[in-house]
Amino acid sequence: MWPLALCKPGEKVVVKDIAGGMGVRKRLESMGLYPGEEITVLSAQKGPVIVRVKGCRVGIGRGMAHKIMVAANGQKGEEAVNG
Amino acid sequence: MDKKQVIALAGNPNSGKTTVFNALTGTRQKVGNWPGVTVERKEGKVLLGNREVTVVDLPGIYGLTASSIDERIARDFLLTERPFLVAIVLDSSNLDRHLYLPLQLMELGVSRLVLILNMMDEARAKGLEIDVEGLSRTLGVPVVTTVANKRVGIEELKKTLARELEKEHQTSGFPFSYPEPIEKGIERLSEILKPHPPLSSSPHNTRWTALKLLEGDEEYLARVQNSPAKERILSLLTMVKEDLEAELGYDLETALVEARYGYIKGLVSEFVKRKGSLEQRLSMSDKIDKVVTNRFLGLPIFLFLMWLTFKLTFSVGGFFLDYIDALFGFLGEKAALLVHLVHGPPWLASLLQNGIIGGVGSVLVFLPNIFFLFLAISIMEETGYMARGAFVMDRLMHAMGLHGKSFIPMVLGFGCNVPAIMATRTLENPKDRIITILVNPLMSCSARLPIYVLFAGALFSAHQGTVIFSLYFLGVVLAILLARLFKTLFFKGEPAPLIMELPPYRLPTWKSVLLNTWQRSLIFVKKAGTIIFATVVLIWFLASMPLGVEYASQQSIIGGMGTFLAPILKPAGFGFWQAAVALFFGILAKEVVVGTLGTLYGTGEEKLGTVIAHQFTPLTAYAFMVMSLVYIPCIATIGVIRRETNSWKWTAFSVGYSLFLGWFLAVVVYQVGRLFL
Ligand SMILES: Nc1nc2c(ncn2[C@@H]2O[C@H](COP(=O)(O)OP(=O)(O)OP(=O)(O)O)[C@@H](O)[C@H]2O)c(=O)[nH]1
Ligand SMILES: [Mg+2]
Repeated sequence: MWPLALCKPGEKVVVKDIAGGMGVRKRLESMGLYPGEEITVLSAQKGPVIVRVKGCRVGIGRGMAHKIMVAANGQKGEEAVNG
Repeated sequence: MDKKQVIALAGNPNSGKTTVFNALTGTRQKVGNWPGVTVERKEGKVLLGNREVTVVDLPGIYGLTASSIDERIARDFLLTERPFLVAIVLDSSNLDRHLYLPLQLMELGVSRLVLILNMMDEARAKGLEIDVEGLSRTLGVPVVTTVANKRVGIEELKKTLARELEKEHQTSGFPFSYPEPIEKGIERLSEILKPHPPLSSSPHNTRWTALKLLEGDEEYLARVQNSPAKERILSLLTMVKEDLEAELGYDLETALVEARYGYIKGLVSEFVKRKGSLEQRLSMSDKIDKVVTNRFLGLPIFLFLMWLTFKLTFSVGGFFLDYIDALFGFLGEKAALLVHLVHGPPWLASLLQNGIIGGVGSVLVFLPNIFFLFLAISIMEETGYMARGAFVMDRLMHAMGLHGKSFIPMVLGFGCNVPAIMATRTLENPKDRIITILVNPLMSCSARLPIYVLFAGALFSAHQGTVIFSLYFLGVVLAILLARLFKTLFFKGEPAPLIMELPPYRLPTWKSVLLNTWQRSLIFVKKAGTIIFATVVLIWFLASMPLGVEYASQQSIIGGMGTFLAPILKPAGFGFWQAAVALFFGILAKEVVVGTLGTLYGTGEEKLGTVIAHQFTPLTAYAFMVMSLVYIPCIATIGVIRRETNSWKWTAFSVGYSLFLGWFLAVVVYQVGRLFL
């Protein structure tokens, strides 16, 4: 696991954990970003990180991108039971 | 308002709600290709069959937990005012995410829903084929497809809305349920909530409350705190949660979200067919983004675009200026001549020539500049660049103690500070928001543009571009420094994290860009016809009184007022009475500064610029421009600051600091400049 902020452009990763307040977590959830979801990193430079989540481009500030932990696609570990 | 007559438009930001609203009601509310254009609720009327119905356009929301003011407005309207029918506007090309909100509303028990699958053109371009019928059947709600900006599907939408309004209420069997263990947990919790009406007004509501408690929603937890059964509910909640997490093997919050999105995924794979390759290639927008948000190219591109805006506004706009100026001069003379010919009273000739045409005309000549400024801003808004600007500027904004989202109100401030300050509603953190509001008037709005063009043209003819640019730049630098200062003085702490959606780039239609530009320019013209007109007539009157006094002389009433105020401005180098009254009345609207001078100086053959060139030196003119930039927000801006901060204290602070700073900087410019020149 490593923070989203350290990803390279083009990388496909799975969100593992989101630290931060309830408000931020809920906001990200409603934008489709939650633990278990696969995202594509579109741009990761000094500034904010841009990811593709559920077909939409979402920009995430550097500080926040350090609080989102991701892992390589595939080693999903405890996978979700979908409804 | 009859409840049965209200339809609310909800949906994710930038899904096209306002476009649908405009198409339904025939109004022209502002549309733009970035999330957060609409920040307040707007009402309009639509004729459905033979019945007039109210449609309410709302700010965009992603879910039902609101984190900023615009989102709260939308959510509260949906949850507490309970509109009779909710029409949700979705981006059909991204149903994976856009279906989340309707799902939440269904769970909440909002049963009268209509789904509007908007942006069908983009879905088709992506090769998506949507089984509308199937989706509608499974969800139990009507589904309509539209391309709102082309008005495709609007008639069908109207028919569907009319039909839904007529329908008797029917509880649709909502197909979605959570995995078995979670459902059991919800039931257990519901049992104990049932006898407590504030927490459960209806069976649906009980379920929703139970869900929210399991999710750990702070708002609902706070409600439990007020309940007499608080202890029992909370202890059961902990128990249910622990049991569930033990059974699932991970945290419940995630399990719930995952279940919802899992259901949506199922819907999409069943009803949306993708033609062509499944492989996700980089879209056009991604390619443009690679360049535009590039670490090295991003800032230069942004600065280039700003320079282009500037060029367009002043060079192309300026090209027309002389002609219009000549036209007004001609009109003024002819009007005076006409009054003379028909033996009208001399005061009427003076009112027409000096007051109205001299005053209002001196402002209206800047219409072309303002038109091109708004054209550039509209293009930025409609292509989708605005949101990128926020990204590129994020790092710089951090230096101000803010984040990228504050950038959008700043750019909008070049147009007009009033909507710019309203746009701060999308900022999640109230502290960030107040700082952004306080420094916004430092962005040179379009009303200050006439002052700059007039003075720079009169006294810096060779370098007028540079001079005007320096004023815009000064405003930005002051905003940065003051934001930093206010942050350390009053608002310590981190800004809220930046989370912002980047819309796809869209090629705007000329029609929509021009319409948008025209509408804003029209506001300028209307202002010229109302507040500027009224002020100018007042100034003319004060300049002609007492009876028999020489027009616009120091002995007139206005001359007396100006003479009284002028000493304050003496240290800044422009301590003559005309400048004093111009600045004084300029508080009403900054265009009035030019309007006042036009009324007072517009007497002779000479053009306004020539008179100014006589009265001012380049140094005092520059000091005057600096003062005009900073000295006070106009009345309309003060009003909106008061409303948006909801505090007289911050309003007074904003007025106070800018008055002092404006005067102080003007004095510094003059006194320091005098040492060198
Ligand atoms: N291609 C396409 N573009 C559309 C369609 N409907 C709206 N747009 C564009 O999408 C953008 C967003 O439209 P708005 O109506 O401002 O969206 P909104 O949902 O009101 O946005 P917020 O007020 O920010 O929440 C604008 O640039 C519109 O021109 C459509 O059907 N197809
Ligand atoms: Mg809108």
